[in-house]
Amino acid sequence: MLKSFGAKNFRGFQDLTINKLKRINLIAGKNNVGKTALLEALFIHSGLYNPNLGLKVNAFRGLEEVTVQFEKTAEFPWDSLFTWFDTTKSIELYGEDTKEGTRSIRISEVPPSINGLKKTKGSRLNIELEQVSAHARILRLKYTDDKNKSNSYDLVFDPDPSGPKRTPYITPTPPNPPFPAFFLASRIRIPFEVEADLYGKLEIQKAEQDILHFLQIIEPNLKSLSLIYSMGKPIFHGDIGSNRLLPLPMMGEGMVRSMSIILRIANAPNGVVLIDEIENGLHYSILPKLWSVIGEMAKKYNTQVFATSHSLECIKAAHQAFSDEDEYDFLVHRLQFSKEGDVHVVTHDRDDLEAAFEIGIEVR
Amino acid sequence: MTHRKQFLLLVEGKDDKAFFEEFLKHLTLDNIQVEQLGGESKLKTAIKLFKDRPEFLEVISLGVVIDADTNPDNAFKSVVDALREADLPTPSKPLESAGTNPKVTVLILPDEKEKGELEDLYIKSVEEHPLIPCVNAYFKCLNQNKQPIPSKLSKKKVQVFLASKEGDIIGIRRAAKEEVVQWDHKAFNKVKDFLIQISEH
Repeated sequence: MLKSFGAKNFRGFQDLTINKLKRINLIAGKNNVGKTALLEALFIHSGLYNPNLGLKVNAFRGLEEVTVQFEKTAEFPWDSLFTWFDTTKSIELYGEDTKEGTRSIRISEVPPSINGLKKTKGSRLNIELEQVSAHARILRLKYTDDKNKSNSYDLVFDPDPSGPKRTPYITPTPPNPPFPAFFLASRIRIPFEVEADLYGKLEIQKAEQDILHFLQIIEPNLKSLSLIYSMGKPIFHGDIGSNRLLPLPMMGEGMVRSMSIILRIANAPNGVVLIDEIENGLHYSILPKLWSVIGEMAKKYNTQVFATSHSLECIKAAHQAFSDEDEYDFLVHRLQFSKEGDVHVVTHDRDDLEAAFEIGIEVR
Repeated sequence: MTHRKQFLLLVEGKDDKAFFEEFLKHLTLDNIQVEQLGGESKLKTAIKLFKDRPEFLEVISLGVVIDADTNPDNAFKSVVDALREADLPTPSKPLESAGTNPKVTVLILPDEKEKGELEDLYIKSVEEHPLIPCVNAYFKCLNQNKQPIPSKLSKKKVQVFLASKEGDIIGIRRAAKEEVVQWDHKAFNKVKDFLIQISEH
């Protein structure tokens, strides 16, 4: 679990530090201040070794259909990750983990000349060299652990790849991420198959009753939950006491959104779940219940949750839900512009929120 | 509510907020935003919360008003401690401004040398009123009948005094709004000077 986090030269953050994190973290702030970007930075950091996550976060913003062009003036898919699109300054993401210490990643674009002959694997006796063309674009991710041990992984777009490799490719092949991480985007509709897959993983572990239990907190009339193929798609159906099962989407957007959140926390033991605009599609009356569920699940699965919100009702609901629990493991982080135009974080704890709500001071 | 003006006045509670807003209207000082701190117990948290708001970057003059209650020196000290904790300029005494952008000025009510609160000033401003002997007689009567005298006597005195007015004016908030305050009375001179002081940069 992260205790603190920082990002340099990433999207709109020249140098952003969050000194204190808890299990549940709600990120507030005005439009365009970088709430989603902070989730993206956390997501890329959670992968530790995978430079491709930089492109994946663009897809969360609906930019997956990017045509890669190699002309000098053409914009490259990863350019927007860098502050002011300036790829000459490296991105740095660093987080202090409660167990693993500080783990940092540095992302920079390197010219193919440096990469010209690339060692992909091997020892002194068996060195494989890989040639990239002069027009290749290379994004290098350098991971450094708490003991200052480093490894680099390159994402290569090569218009003239030598050998059988299809561009883009990552070399060397990065290890699996150390823990599961999910990014729940605000606007992108999640295919039924993705949700069914996550549910299936829980069924294999006989954990599907957990999902029902947590959904029942949000919808007390729900008696059972089934995954049924309907019109060629695996769609969740629920029994809410009528004479037939109802597809989950028919129970409302709130149930679908809640299910998405619940499925991801249950599938991220010891990991991270990042939720953009958590209140999307949710009626305010559901929010306190949803936060209770998130709190209970995050504790059970040892998952750290980061969510963004514009809504004061949402922040109030979270504060209220966690105030009723034995442990208040929750912070609100507001991103805002400084006098110099840089983005910084103001973190609000329980005392701050209590005072702010009582007096009527804005915390969003 | 969020302050949006360059001059910010932080006061203790709702009554103080209404009183100062009306006073500022009377003085035609419409460039000062008044916000409440929620009482002395929340002083540190509230000042820090205001200071951390993005709008605070625009504030060039900050005034803080709190009641002396039982000890004006302690009241001033608690404001200074809260200002220091929020990394804001700290004046060395009430009515003395410190720092720039924002300039910070503190006012203790009813006075930096007296115990009490805002309502004490109000009672002073009406002490020549023919009904004040009646108000005093009421509390004397309570005493004679062995009824407990309220701890914040001036607040109660204001209520008893206002009971003679038409309508439902039961506190200084309504008194300010219903214009039953003599803003130009000498009892309010220090407050007036303070408000002018914080409205100047």
